[in-house]
Amino acid sequence: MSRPAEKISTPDDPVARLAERLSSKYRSRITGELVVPPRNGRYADLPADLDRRLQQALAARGIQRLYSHQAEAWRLAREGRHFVVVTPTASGKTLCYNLPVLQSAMQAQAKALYLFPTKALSQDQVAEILELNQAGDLGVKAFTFDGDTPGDARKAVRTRGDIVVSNPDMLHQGILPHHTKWAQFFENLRYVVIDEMHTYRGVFGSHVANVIRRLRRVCRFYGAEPLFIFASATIANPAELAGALLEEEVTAITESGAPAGEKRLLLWNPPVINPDLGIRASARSQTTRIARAAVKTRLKTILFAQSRLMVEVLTKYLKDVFDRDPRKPARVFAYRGGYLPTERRATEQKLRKGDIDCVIATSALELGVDIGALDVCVLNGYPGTIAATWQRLGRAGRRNRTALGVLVASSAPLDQYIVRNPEFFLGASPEHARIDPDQLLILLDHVRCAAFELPFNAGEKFGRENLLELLEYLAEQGIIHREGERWHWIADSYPANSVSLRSVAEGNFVVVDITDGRQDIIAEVDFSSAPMTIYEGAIYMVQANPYQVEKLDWEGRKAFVRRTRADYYTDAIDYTKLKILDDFARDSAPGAECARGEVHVVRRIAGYKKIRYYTHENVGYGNINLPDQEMHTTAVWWQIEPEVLERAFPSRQQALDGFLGAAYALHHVAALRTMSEPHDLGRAVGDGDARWFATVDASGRGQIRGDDGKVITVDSQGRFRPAVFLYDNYPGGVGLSAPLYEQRHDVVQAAQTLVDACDCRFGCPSCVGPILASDEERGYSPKAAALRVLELFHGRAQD
Amino acid sequence: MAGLKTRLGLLQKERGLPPAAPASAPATHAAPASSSVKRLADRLRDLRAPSAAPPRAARAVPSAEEMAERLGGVAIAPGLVQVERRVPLDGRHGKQPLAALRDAVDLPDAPTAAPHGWLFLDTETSGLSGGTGTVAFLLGLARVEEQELVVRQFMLTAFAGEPALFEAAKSWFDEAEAFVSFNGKAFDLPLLATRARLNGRAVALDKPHLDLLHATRRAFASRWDDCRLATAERRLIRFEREHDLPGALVPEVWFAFVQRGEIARIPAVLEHNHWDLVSLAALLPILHAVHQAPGAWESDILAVARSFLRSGDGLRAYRLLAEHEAMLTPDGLRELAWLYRRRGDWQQACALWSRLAAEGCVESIERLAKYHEHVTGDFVAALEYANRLGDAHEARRARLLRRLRD
Repeated sequence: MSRPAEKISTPDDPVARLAERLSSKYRSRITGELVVPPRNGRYADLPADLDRRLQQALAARGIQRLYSHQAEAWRLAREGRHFVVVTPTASGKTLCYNLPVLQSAMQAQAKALYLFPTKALSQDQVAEILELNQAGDLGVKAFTFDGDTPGDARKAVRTRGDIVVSNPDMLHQGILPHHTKWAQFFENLRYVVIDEMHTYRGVFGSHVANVIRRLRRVCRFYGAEPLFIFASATIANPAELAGALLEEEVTAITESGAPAGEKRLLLWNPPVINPDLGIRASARSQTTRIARAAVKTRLKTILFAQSRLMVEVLTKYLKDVFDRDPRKPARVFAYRGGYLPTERRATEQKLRKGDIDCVIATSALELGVDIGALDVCVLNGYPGTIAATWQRLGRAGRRNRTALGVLVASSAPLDQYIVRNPEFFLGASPEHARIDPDQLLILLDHVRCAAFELPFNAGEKFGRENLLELLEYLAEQGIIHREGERWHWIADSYPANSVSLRSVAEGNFVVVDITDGRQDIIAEVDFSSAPMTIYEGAIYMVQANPYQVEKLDWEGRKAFVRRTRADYYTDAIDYTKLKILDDFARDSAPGAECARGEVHVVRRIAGYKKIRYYTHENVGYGNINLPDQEMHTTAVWWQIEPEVLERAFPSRQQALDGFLGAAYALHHVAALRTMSEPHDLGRAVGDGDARWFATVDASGRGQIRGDDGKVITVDSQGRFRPAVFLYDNYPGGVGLSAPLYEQRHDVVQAAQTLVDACDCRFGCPSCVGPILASDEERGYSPKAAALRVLELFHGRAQD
Repeated sequence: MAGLKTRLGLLQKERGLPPAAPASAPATHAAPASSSVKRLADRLRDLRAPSAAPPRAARAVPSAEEMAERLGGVAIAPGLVQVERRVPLDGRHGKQPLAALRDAVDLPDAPTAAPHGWLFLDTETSGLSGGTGTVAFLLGLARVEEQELVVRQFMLTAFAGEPALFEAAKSWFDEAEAFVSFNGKAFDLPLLATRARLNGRAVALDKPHLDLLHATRRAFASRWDDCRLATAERRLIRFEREHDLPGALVPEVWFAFVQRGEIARIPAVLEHNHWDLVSLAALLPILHAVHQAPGAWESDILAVARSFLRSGDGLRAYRLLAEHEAMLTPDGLRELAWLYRRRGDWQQACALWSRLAAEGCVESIERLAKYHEHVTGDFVAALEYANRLGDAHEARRARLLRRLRD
C-alpha cells in the first residue's frame, strides 16, 4: 500500500512543493517518508431495486452511481446480515446506511435508530438526511432526540419519527427506561446504525455493549430484531469489536471504492541541542515552524496536540504570528473539549466554508464532524496509538490534490521509538480495540438498569456471568424482588441516573468569567481533569486568552476566573500512592519477585509550577489544596529483596533512582505490548507496605515521601523494599493486569532493550525519564541504575 | 467523589473460605452453585459497600384471600384484591354535600358529560419516576351510581396479579365517558398506560380527561402556598383526616409488605387512597361553584375569567368580571374594560378607563385617546389624553393637532 518517497516533480501542486521544500531543507530531521499513492475510484451501478424517489434524490445531488463499498453495504443489508463499514473519512460512508434505511422507511414504514457519540454529529446527520429528503421529496421524518429536545417535541419524535438520531447516553437514560412510550417505534424498528464505532472501546465501549444488550432485550419484548449497521475508522479488529459489542457475527467492509489523492507522510525528529543530557528541541518549536510555512503558502492546515494546554500554547504562538491585527478576521483557531458547544459549532462551520487557515485541536476533532478539506496535518507528538495517528492524518486530503502529514516526535519514549524506527510505524497495523462488557461493576450496573426496564425471567441470559447470582445479589440489596420465576424492580429509584457510560463522571465543572463584574460561563471541565487544570492559581486558557482561577468551588462544581496578563502558564504536579491489598499470583526469581493483585490507589495533586512563555523557565511554584482521588483496582508489581538490593547498589538513593527509571521504561513498554491506551495504565514506585511513595524532585533526583506527603530520607527507613507498580487506571480494573502479568518476562526484557539501546549517555526522556543534573554532579548514571534494577527483575544471576 | 466512595466503600477482606462446616459435610460434594455464589458475592463486596438494607425476615407474603379478609374485600384473582365501598350521596364529605355530584358541571376545560359518565381515579405507586420500573400497586376508581358514590380499589398482593387488575378494571374504564383526576394527566394515566403495555393489556385510556389540579391552580395558586389535593381538601372541602398515612410513606409500606409480609399498615394505605378519591369527587362540584362565583370562594377572579376566554366563552368571562367588578384588581379592570369595548358598550368601557387613567394607567389613557379620536370625534379630549402619554406617542399628538387645525 505504501512505498518510500521518490522525487516526483509536481509543478502545480502547492502541497507537493511544500513537502519537497521541507524534505530538502530539514533533511537531517526527517527520519522517514511515506507516500500513499492516489487511488482510483471503483464504482457500481445503482441497485436495480432502489426506490425511484431515492434515485432521483441521489441524482439531484450529483450521484449517478455508487462506490463499490456502498453497493456491498446495500447487498448485505438486503440479505439481513449485520455489517461494519471501515473506510476513511470522505468516502461516502453515510450512504452505506442511509440508503437501506431510507428505502425501508419509504416502502415498509420501517423505523431506524441512529446512535452517535456526540450531539454535534447527530445534528450533522439529521441535516444530511433532510437534504436527501428534500432533493427527492421522500417524505421521511428524521429527528434528533437527546437532552436538548424540548418536552413538547418529544412526543412528536416518539410517535412520528421514522429515523430517530440519538446517542448512547440518551438511549441509556431517557429512552430505554421509558420504552413503553416508544412502543410503536420499537415494534417497527428495522435498523440500528452505530457510527464512530471505534470510539466504543475500553470502559466506554464496555458500557455501550451493555446498553446494546438492554436495547435488544427491549426490542425482543416488542417482537423486533433490528439489523445493526456499524461504521468505524480504521482499527485492527473492526469485525471483532463489532462482534463483541453485538454478541453476534458481523461482516466487515474494509475496501473503499472512493477515489483519493496522493498522501505524503514525514516522520520528523527535532534536532538534539544538548547531547550530554540528550535534550532535543521541543516538538512545539518544530510544529510551529512547519505550520508557519504551510499557512504562509495559503494551505489549509490542522495541528493536533496531545493536551488542551498544548493546544492553547500552540494557538498563542501562531496567533502572535498571523492574527496580530485585531481589525482583520482571525485566521487561527483553537478547538478542544471544554469550549462551549456553540463556539465549537461556529468553528466547524467556518472550517467548512474555508474561512480558517489554521486550526489547532485535541482529539476532539478526530471524530467525523465534517470540516471540509484540509491540505496539511501536523501531529505535535505521537497520539499514542497507530489507529489514532492515521485517523488524525486522515483529516488532510482532497480528491484531486496531494495532502501532507507530518508526525513531529516529542521526547517521550514512545515518540522517540516510533520516529527512530520508521519501519515499525509504517509497517504497523493499528491497535486492537478491546472491551470488557462483563467487567463486574459495569455488568452489575446494567443488570440493575435492565431490571428496571423489564422484569427478569428465570432462564434469561444477560452477559456471561451467572445472571442468577447477580439477581440474588441485587435482591439482597432490596432493589429487586423475586416472585416465582420472575424478578421485579421494587425500589423508588431510577437506576440509569446513577450510571454514567463514561469513566467516573461526577459532574462537570463550569468555568465562570468574573472579569469586570461579569458572570459568564466560558468553558466546561470534566471532573477527572479538574484537579490538574482549574486549581486556585491556575492559568486557564480559552482560545489562547489567559484567565487565572481565583476561586474553585469544589462542591458546587464552579471555577471563577479573571482575565489576566500573566506571562507564564501553569503545570500541575501529582503524586500517586499505592497500597497492596491482596495478591492473586506470584512469581519468584532469585532475589526478586513479580506479582499481580488488588491495590488501593490514591492520587494527590500537590502543587504547580509556573512556566514562562518562550523561555520555558520555571518562575515559581504554588500549592494546591484539593481532595485526593481514590480507587481500588488491579495491578502488577515488581520487587527486589532488600539484601540483594543492598549488595547491588552503593546507596539507597541510587537504588531509588534506578527504580524510578525502570518504572518509566516499563510503563511505556507495557502500554505498547498490551496495546492499550497510554493512560489506561498508571505507574508508581512505592513501598510495598505503603509506608512511603516516590517522586522526582525539581533537579531530577528521586525522593520519597511519607503518608502525609512530607519528604523523608531514604536512609531513615528500616527495611528498604521499593516496588514498581503498573495498575489499571479504572476502579475494579479493566482486565489489563492479567495479560500484562502473563507477559512479564517479555515486558522486562523489552524495557531493558529500550534503555540499553538508547543513544543518550546518562538518561533521557526517551528511556528512563528526564534528568536535569549531569552525571558528574551526581556521580552515577540514572540510566545504568535503571538497567541494573531491570536485570534484577529479570532474575539473571548477578555478576 | 461521593459516588465512587459509596460504590467501592471499605474493603471487606473475605478470603472466600466457607464458614466452619459441620463435620459431616464432605468437601468433595460441595455444591458448586453455592460456592460460586459466595465467590461472586465476595467479589462484589470487595468492590462495593456492603448493603445497608435490613436482613430479610422469613415471613411469607399473605395470599390474596388472606388480605381480602383483612381488608373487607374479595380476592378476584391470585395476587389481586378488590375492595368496594359505597358512600351515600345524601351525606356530606367535610362541609360539601355529595348530592352535588348529581348536577351537571360547567368548567372551561371540562368535556361536557352527564355526571354518571365521570370516572374518578387515583393510584398509589412504588415511586415517582413514571418509568417502566414504577408499579401502580393500588388503583382507586370511583363513580356515581344512582344514590351512591361507589369506590372500588384494586390492590396487588403480588406482581402476578397485575394482568388481572387490568381485566377487572376494564369494564369501568370502558363505560366511562371521561376521567377525572388530580395530576393524573401528567402522572397516573401515563403510568397506567405503561403498566398496561408491559402486561400486554389493552385498556381504553384515550378518553377526555379533566385534571382538577389545573383548575385548582388556576383559581388558587396566587393565594395558597401550594395546590396539593390535601390543601384543597382542607381549605375548600373542610375535611380533616384522622391518623392519615402520609403519601410519602406509602411506597415503603408496600415494599415492606411484598418483601417481608408486613401487613400492619396496608389498611391505612387503602384508607388514604379512599379519602383521596372521595375528596377528588367532592372537589368537582366545588370547582364548578368556584367558576360560577369566584368571589365567594376567595379565588383569583381574573384567572378564572381568563380560562373562560381561552376556551372561547367570551360572554361568560364578561359576565363574571362584570358581576365582580368591585373585587377586581387593576389587571382585572383592564380586562373587563376590554370586554365591554368588544361588546360595544363604550360607556362602561370609558367609565373603567377613566377610573384607571386617574390612577395613572398608561394603557387606559391611550385607549381613551383612541376612543375620542376615532369614535366620538372629540379631538380636544383626545389630545388632552394624548398629552399625558410619553414620547412614543408623538405621532398621535401630531396627527391630532393637524386634525384640530383643519
